[in-house]
Amino acid sequence: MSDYKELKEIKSKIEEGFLAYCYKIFKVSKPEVSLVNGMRIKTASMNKAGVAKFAKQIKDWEEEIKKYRDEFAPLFLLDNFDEDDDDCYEYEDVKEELLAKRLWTISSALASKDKALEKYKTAFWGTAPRQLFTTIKIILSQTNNYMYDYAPLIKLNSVNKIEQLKYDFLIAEDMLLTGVIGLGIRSEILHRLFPSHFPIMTRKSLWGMHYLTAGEDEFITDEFYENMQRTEHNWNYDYPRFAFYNLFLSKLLESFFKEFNISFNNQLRFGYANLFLNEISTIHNDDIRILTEWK
Amino acid sequence: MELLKQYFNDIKQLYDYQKIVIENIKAKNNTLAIIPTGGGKSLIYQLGALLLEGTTIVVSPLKALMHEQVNELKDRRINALSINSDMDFQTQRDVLRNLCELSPKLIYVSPERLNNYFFRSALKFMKSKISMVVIDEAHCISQWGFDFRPDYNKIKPFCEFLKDNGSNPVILALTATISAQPRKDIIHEFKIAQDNIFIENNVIRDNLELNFQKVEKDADKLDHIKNFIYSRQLKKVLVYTYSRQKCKELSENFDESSYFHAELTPGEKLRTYKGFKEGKIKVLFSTTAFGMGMNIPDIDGVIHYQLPESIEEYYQHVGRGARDKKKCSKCYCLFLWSEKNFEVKADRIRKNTIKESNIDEAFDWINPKRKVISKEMNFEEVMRNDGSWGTNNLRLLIPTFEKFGVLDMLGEVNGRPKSIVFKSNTSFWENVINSLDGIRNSYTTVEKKLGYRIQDMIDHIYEQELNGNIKKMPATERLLFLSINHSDLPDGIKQNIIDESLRIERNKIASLDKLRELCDVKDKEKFIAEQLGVPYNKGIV
Repeated sequence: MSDYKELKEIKSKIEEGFLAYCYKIFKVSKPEVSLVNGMRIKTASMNKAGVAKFAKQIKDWEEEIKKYRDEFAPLFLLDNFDEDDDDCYEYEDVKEELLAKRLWTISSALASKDKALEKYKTAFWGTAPRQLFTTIKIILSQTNNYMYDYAPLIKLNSVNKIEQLKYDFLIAEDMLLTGVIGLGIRSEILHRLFPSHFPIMTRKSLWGMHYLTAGEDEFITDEFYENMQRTEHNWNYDYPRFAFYNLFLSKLLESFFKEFNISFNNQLRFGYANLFLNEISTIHNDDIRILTEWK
Repeated sequence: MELLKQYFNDIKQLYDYQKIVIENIKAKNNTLAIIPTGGGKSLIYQLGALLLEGTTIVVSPLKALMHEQVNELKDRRINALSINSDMDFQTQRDVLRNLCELSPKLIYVSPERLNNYFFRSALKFMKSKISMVVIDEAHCISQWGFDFRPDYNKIKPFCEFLKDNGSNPVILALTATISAQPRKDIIHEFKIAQDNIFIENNVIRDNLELNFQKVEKDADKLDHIKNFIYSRQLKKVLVYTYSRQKCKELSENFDESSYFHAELTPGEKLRTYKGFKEGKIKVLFSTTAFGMGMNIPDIDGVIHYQLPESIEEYYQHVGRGARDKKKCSKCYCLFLWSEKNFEVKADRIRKNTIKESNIDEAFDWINPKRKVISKEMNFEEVMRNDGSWGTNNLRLLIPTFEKFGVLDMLGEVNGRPKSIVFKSNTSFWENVINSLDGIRNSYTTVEKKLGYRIQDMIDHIYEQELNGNIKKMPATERLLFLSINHSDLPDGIKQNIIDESLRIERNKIASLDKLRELCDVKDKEKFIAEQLGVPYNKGIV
């Protein structure tokens, strides 16, 4: 992975960009803070109403993350994939309902009019339902093992190396399905079920990270299609590395919340990070639209 | 004839063969008529429909043209409508809702519609009976033909459905060219007596100039096309290729040109078709998606950049030229070929032949749990698995499995139970929804749990639709219902499928050899007539 920059370099860029985006997103800032552009935040922005609004925003975020998690958990129960059980899902149910409709990363790709996604649609529909069923079952089973065996031993607050996340189990070949269940799609499953331990790696979160790090290129990539070109999110970005940066970001968010006496729920840590990155991406929507147009 | 005067006063009289076929329909005889393009096929069934009491269903693969035909009929004050998947879903919904009251004289449908449960419900509720089923481009029915369309297999079960519901329609199969084996298939499928087969004596046209040019390599073809168009001052030229990408690439070499293939959106197709028809596009590069039924009278050039599979297909293509002698007296045709082209084509035919591994993979896909069951499949899955890009050829193998009794295609429906919202819930529908927990959302699950038949559930929805009780019917998903008759695929059946595939392959290679022979023979029209089994001289057979 020689194309990736040093961890400390990206971390320091995240740190540098963080407060400016906090101000843009939460409309509050720590007192006596200088923004990148040299502007100093006045104490007026720390007024009670502003902080209350910020607290409400975080509460809404938490509800959104929990809602997803609680809706997801029963649908992705491993018991539903137990073929010895009478109530086991049919292979087609998993493909056409669970994945094609309930998983946002897949449903949006299947509904997209982007011609570059035709290849994905063909790959998805060209995969037998049983294959998808099996891959999802393996992902769930291995992730449950991780949460049971490793997660309790990992002190996420003191992680300072990617390896400490113990994500090795994700590398196994049968944990992905070439061209159909990729890193981004799998990350949605992991994240929705366990926002405490897995971030979601989507178009928006990668673009968000690109802008948060003052335009780091490793989060984006050039795509080519029928003599046309565009810049898009790097959907093939190394997931454990992305998780590491998300963890770092979540720690920054935690300390930022503390400044305002807003509690930080560790069970939702990667959810906060995701929504923060989504907001950054939204701020830059116009630029992203131009960059992602086929030219 | 009174009806001709009343509705078609711009047409002074009918050809003899038109009169004979119409009389035959009137006598309720299932009929096969082989009539050249531009020979007035449509008029036969339109007049036939007016003569018979009830509604005529016209099955046609040409979705883009249905709208045009229906408008023409409406201008003639004939009550007609069309329904096909190119229309947006809400329009389809409106048409089906109104069908009950309208009882039109003609309904144009694409073949995939025929086993749609919702369409069938609408027909059941319609006041008039179905008096005739017209199979346009009937050669598509045969797996032996060059233009086999699996959806045409739905016609026979559809006719049985009509009979079960009180109609007894006469069948009229129409085509411009059809060789011996496909002809046998149609005759057998619809029990057409020998006396009821009509072949118009002018299948071999006298206003097509057939030119054949051997080339050393494909790169030379572009210059040949340019010279051909320029030297003959052609104004409206159709160039056939078999690759979507090639269409686009080639068109970039010509001014006032465009391309046409199946992947274009319905809107793009219609715009290109109109542009070509109106002369704004002078050279159109197209796959075979542009062809049958395209009603352009003044095409003065048809060029084959790549090879068709047979003489039958070749003649179908050149038959697009100079359809109206008054507007265009002659069409100049150019067939570009090399020995290599024939070798590649033969290899492709062999490659596309169904193999044992294809059969095993397809069966494993549709019946992974090895059970005798009913199930539904998403149509997107069937359509996208067409053997290209290394996919399984479910699109061909599912109808093949049906032909050999491995499964039955029960029907199709758009949407799933939970996607339909009633304004005021009925107890029947509450039972349906309550039987579906979690992500389960299929009609076959309801069928298993409650014993409700799928057609009964769809009839219920249609009835509620007529009562104005459906609030939301977002039904973009198209589902195919299958009844799998075997837990394991019997070896005997597998062998029969393989044997038939090999026979088809041999037949196709033989047809290709004949096309190669055509490149060298002197009297090409005579040779074509012999191969198509049509007269070279005048007179009805």
